[in-house]
Amino acid sequence: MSAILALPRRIVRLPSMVLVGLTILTLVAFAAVFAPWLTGWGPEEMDMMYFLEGPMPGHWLGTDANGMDVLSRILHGARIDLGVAIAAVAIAVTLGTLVGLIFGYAGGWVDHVGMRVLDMFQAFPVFILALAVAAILGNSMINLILTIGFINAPPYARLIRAEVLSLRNRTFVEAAEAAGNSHISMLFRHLLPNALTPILVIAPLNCGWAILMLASLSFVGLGVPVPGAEWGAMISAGAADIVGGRWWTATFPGIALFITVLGFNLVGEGLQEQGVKR
Amino acid sequence: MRVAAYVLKRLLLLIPVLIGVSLIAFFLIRLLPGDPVLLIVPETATEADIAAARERLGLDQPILTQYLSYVGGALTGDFGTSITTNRSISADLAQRIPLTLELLIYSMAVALVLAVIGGVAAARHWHKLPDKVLRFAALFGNSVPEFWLGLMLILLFYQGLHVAPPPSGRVDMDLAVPTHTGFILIDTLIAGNGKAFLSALHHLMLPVATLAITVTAPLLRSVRASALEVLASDNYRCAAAHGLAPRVLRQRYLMRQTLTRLPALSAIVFGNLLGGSVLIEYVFSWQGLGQWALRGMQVRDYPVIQAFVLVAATTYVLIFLLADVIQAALDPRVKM
Repeated sequence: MSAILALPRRIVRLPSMVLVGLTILTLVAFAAVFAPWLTGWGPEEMDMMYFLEGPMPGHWLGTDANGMDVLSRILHGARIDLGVAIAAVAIAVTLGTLVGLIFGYAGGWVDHVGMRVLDMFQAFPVFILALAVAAILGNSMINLILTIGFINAPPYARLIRAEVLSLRNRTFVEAAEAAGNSHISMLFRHLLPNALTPILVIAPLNCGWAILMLASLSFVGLGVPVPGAEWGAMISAGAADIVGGRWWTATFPGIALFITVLGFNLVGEGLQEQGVKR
Repeated sequence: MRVAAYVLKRLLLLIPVLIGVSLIAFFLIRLLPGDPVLLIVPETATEADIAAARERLGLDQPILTQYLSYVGGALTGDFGTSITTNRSISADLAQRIPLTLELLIYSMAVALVLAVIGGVAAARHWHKLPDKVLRFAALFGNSVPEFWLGLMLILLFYQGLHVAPPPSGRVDMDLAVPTHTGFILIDTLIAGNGKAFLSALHHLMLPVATLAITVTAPLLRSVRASALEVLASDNYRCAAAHGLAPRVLRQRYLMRQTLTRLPALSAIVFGNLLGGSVLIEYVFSWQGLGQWALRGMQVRDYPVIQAFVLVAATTYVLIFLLADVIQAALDPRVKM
């Protein structure tokens, strides 16, 4: 547990990158939670007076081709994008960690065969695998979360396995083994807590990728279906307006997407640098 | 000779990976709950129609037979026919791969040049202004959604400043040239049509810029890191302490040692580029492999999805092999 308990002490001297990132993410989370109360419009509510109108009082970021309020949709989009990304990364971390623990601890042929299978999955460019799986499974929210979760799991399995392999020869692990701990206790009380630290660094970066993956899938019509308020889907719908000079429908959701991913990247990279310095 | 033996050994090691890749591509389609044949036949099909379609597609055969005939076909370049357009998939691939390759190659080339110049400059001015500016740029490139960046570039340079062509086609409409290689820049040169060549460059400008920006970011960071490692290494510091001329130090020591690490990095980034090209082709209506695969995915044309996944993964694996071979040729320390 020492790795986790030591964390609060380290937070006190977090680098400014992490603080900026956390501030951004707090604001996005705030938008997600309070979305219904921040504008007068629902995310799929149409204003029959204004179709595809630029920013103006009442519709601060304009309306889209259906007369829906862009600001309201962006704020509600934070719920979907943040929610799907965090759920998917949670699945990826859990699945990857379990698999990595088992491979590293079991060793032998389990490890050997398992790693070859992971190699094969990693022979596919990530986004292309995501496209194919999303296309085949169909785009319900659950399927999207599962797809993004599964696809992001292999790196965690690798990471945890490598940690477990290096921990196996440490004295305290040998002592715990000699003291007659069961396999379950070895895995979850002695190895897992000590192998978790690198995951804390990768997970925020991964949340950023997961959001980009979801938005990209929606952008090409394989993610959240219209008229769902998801940033990538909004950009996709707005792309058609650009050539007519109506820039706001694609631009604003993209800024929201960019800033959120930036927030995760700032946190992840800041933590990474902290790790290097230690 | 040494290199040839090395390549042969690596190619043999590739076989199990490719078998695995083909298994995944084959069974991916069967992830689908239910019967693939129901995807193919129209909704009004009768039982007899379904049975006929099943037989026509070989889906009544045992699964192993199906897999073997699929692999046999793929090895001989026969990926079957699209179930929605009835066109030969191999013919579609042959027509579209050059368009995508053209985007990928130019973007990669631009990204490599930018990343090497930027990464080495950042390392030499470590923690000073150029380094900080470049780190900020890398952060931007890593965070910006590439498809949105493409749209913003269209908005700015086509819609706003009128310096870019509209986002469709590879040359201006009135300048079509006959296809020889499928690579538009080469085809326009063969045709000796300078105007079309310039027009093709003009049309390539924005999509290549978009892809290049997003892949430069991860490359830049890796080049910077490896240049920093070289700068701190004993042999570089020893050379510097001996008072070698700064130009010799920079070119023969810093550059050369940094560059030997580049092939492996580029191979990893190439995977991002392949995925990104699907999005960028969509944004710029570029009729390459990505657009073709995307259409297949939107209508669940499963032979198309299968072929695309297989081609993409095989390319990715071969790029890794190529990177390793280049690395081995560049770096005498690598055991062949």
